[in-house]
Amino acid sequence: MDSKKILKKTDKVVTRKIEDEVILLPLSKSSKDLNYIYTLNQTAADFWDRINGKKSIDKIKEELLSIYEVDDKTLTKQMNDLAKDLKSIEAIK
Amino acid sequence: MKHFTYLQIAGLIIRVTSQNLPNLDRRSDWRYQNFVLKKTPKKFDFEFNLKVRDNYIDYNSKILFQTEREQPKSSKPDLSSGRREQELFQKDGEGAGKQREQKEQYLGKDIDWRISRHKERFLIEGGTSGNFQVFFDNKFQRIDIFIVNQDNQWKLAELFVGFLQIFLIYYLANKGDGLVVHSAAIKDRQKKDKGYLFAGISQAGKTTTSRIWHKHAKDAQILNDDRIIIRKEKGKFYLYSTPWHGDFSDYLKDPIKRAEIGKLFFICHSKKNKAEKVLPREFFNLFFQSLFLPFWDKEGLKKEFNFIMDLILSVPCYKFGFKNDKKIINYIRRIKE
Repeated sequence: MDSKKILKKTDKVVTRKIEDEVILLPLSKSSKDLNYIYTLNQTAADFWDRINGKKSIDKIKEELLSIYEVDDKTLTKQMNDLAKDLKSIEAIK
Repeated sequence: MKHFTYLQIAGLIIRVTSQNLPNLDRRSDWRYQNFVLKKTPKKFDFEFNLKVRDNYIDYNSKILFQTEREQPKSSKPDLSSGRREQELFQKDGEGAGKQREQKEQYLGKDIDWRISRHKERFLIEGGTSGNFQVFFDNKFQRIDIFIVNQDNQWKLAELFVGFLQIFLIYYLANKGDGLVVHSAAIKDRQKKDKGYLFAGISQAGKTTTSRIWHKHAKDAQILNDDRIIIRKEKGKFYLYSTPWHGDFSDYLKDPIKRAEIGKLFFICHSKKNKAEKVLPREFFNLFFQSLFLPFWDKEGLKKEFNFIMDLILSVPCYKFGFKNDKKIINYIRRIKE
């Protein structure tokens, strides 16, 4: 994913924080789509919280690197995977 | 001439205004008798203006959500009406076959019901036991029900099974003070009339649990073996009986009941009884599988999320693997919070 890309949340999910995790529930148009709720652990929730339509992926990564003891390569991969998943459920664009 | 029928469910009183009183149906009406008020109440929460017409009318509305009959094998909530009622529907003979055909011609073969937007109002249409088209606004000030059949008469089952459950899922979410749950529930006189909710996916043991308590615990009452409404009133959560039963329904002959919630269980069959208290986060993930939610409505979902969190933070929650015998009664009663 382009590290300069600015991610934005859509209005197609409802979220709720429980303890240190975030639960995502996608809206749906058919009972056939009532598949899952998604739970983001604390790290993923920190990524999710920073998606605001203004920050680039690079900027979010920089902020997360300052919080977590993780190497750049591992974090980049995790962020890309998560962004891909969030896009697939239309939670972000 | 107008006729009024008053329904009471989960503490809500509904006035049904119609041209005719419901046509009696001895095979099914006994299930609903406790939800129909014998006396005219002083006030009611909302009114259904009910008419019968012989065909669906296509309003070209914008579809928000529809249920499709091929339901998932797993844990997804089954939003169609009760299995038992579908069986009844199939036994109703030629008339029912025509009704089904009529619905299939209009909605399509695999659609049970759908909700859509028509101008400023919502429209729910479909049916399992009877066909209907229902219009309502988001403040529930005007609710127009059209029962679709060729008889020019309507039955209680068409109202209760037809759309009332779907309507209440939406209504309670909109108000943010209630929830419809795929669950059984018991009111236990031995524990100061407190209620136990047994939520679970299909085949988890809701009906089995209800039968055990019904048979072996004389001082307990079954609220329902398949569908329960939870509401919050004056800071307390209550379990309410509903008419939407599973494979067991004897308890519906008794007067309708409610119970303040004592404990919440998410159940599954097991080789031995074991209840384990779980954190809200874990219980939410389990409980979610048994909830009926307005998946098309963002604001409603947000309110229901808040309601659920409020509930599971207020009441002790357990995972409960149970064995099919009467020992579960004492096991449950002995659980200390």
